[in-house]
Amino acid sequence: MSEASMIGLLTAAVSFGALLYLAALGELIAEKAGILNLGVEGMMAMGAVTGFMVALETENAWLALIVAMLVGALFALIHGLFTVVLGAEQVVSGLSLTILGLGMAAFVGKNAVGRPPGAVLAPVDWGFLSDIPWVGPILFTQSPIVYFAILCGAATSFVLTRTRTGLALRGAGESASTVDASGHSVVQLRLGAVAMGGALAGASGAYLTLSLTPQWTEGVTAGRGWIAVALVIFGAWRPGRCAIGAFLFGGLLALKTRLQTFGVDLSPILLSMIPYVLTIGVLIAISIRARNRPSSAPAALGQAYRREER
Amino acid sequence: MGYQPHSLHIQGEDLAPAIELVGITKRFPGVLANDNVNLTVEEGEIHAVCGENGAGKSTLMKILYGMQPADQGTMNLFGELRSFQSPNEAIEAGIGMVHQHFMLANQLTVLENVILGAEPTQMGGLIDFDSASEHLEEVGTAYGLTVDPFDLVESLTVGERQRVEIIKVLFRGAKILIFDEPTAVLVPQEVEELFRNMRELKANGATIIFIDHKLEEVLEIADTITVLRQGKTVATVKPSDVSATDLAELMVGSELPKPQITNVKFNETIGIKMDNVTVLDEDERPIVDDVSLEIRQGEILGIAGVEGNGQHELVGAILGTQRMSTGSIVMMGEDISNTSVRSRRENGLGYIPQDRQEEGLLLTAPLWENAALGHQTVKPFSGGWNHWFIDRDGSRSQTERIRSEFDVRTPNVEVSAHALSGGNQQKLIVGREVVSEPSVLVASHPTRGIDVGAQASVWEQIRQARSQGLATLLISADLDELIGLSDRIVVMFRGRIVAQLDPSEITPRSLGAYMTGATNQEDSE
Repeated sequence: MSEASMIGLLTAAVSFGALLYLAALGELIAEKAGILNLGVEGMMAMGAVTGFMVALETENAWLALIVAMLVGALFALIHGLFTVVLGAEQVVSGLSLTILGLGMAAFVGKNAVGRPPGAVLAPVDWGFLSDIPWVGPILFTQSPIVYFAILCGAATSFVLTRTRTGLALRGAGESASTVDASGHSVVQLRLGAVAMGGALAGASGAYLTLSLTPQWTEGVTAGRGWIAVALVIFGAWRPGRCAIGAFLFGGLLALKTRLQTFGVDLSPILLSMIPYVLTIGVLIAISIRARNRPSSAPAALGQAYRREER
Repeated sequence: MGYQPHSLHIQGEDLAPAIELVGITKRFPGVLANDNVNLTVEEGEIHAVCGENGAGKSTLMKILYGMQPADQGTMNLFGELRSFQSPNEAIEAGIGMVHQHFMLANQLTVLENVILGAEPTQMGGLIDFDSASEHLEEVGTAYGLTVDPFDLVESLTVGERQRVEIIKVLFRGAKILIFDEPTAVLVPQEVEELFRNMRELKANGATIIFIDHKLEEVLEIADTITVLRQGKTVATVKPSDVSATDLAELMVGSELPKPQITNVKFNETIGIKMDNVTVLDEDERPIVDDVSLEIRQGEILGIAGVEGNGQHELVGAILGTQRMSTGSIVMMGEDISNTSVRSRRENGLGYIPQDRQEEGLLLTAPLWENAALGHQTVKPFSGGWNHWFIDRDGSRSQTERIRSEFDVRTPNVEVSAHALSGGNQQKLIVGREVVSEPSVLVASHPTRGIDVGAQASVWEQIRQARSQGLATLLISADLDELIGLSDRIVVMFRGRIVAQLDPSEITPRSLGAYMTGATNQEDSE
């Protein structure tokens, strides 16, 4: 394997890793507050299509990103309405959100399929930093969203551990009645967390169509939202560990398109299965390892909270 | 709002009571939880609110604490009319609640739990952990409550968790503390510790409302007692003026039946006979060790013993959930040693499990389904080919019968089991076992955690079933119950039967000596 292709692989690993990380962070925030949102794939698709469409119309990639995040958040609030406000079953609502999101994105983006992007998020110019051998191309030729993702990770970690909102949010995921009795609003916290999760999933989707791919086709998200959900478990609900997992799996996603160029003679269909098979494998391994230990999952994850219940 | 809890004291000699609830009414679907309740709590006193499970104590406190709105009624705090939309407002007004089911997040530290909702912050919403832990230490030392602020709550004992709850409330500057059945989860030494803490709080000027249904405790700690019954206030008394019996009668509303020794002649047919039963634990050590017992029809055999001495496994062996390594069990003349649980139940084995919520009920299922549990393979609960079809009408009418005969207080049989109070859940279980007319009944802690009224009714039902020829195995940690109900008592210690006693000749104290292994019948004889 040549040096150039190795650098190319690692660069792509970082790009794909950031894509996964954004979505995983969003899911982590929602789950920390006790809401499991399996709609990540749908929210990503919605972010991807709206980002692309807005860019087509306005030729402003930044505006497109912001709109995609807003749409992601609004879309997530559907899940919030059902699970937080109405106390519906979270798995069912989340799965519906994925199905709805994929379908709606396909419908909205019908006329955008195959069109060249109206605008893309150009890589950040870091000046001389980009010229450092290895490190330069891998870390300093990336789309701004990559740095945004890393920033989000650090911010999430900080907010969760150091601020009152973070404390209350973690509390809502551990014991909602406790938080309620403490005077924080469980509904606000959980809705906020779900919306935040949607915004990050939306950003992740927009990153695909504004930078990584960059064009719109139906199914452009290709199941990566599900990998993000798995990454939260892999990362034991910690932003830092999630980052490790995200860039690891980003590497796998990058590898699959490159294996052939490295001379591996395998059907591309089999190759594209690799990250997903590995996701399943990793989750099985984690659950076997964790069998005899207390789970680090938020204790109230997946549980609706109703105050009037006696 | 800047409300000052003590602002009204200046107004005159006549101090307004700390809390005055007038005419509080609260309805839930099908239940009138509070019916025109009045409660007056003076400043600086320990005021007990007691009543049976389901009498409306917890609902009243939730209203006071702003967790639920009252349908009617008013609330005065130090003479000022108030109403709280949320616990937040109650906390601001100086009211704190020490919840029965701890309001603690297990994976957060003590400090994080304490400050949750009252976080001291620096600029920009950052939590000031340093000043928070300082304040926590202050509060802790002031009231003699010590815990390490950086321990995970997960790692604390029950008593320590309760201390965290109390600190949490004090941390917010509460002057009025509500304790919701605080002793329910504690062992006796911890109860003493709690009472010490409560007296300390009172000496420091706090007003305490104490919810409980254990009469001795109420009489020991309270300055004033208000009794609720079926959602109504029935009396407010001073502990010096009443006895435990008086209180119990106020709570139940009628004279209490007591467990008493009655000599019933039992017939000579043996209901169940165990020979040399041994059960091994995971390490192949005997946990039930060579136990032989027989219970005649119409007899109640009590098993005394400190929990964990093999009683639970013995019950498992009889029920068929626990494999015996040696020995045999004969029920009504038939060897059941190797039969399935289902066949044992169908052939007349009734079972009251020690943990009604764990083993006895499906909490989210309606009562009529719960009434069928354990009897789902027989009439009237099922019918048709191989009893494959649930007989819904049959189940419902049978449940109605249990409801009326066993005084299960519920609006109807369609409500789910978790809507019932503990006592009523237990009456449902006792009812379903007794109406199936078993020939042998295994009753494991049949009155654990239920109030005096329900307890009396369970006793009565067991006694009646005995007079109809039921052979009963009774396991209980309540020694008065054991002595009062049993015709014969054996003591289990380390898996063996170490003593056989006549209940008319023993006291709880002497029984206790056998249970701890201090006295050994085999040695003394």
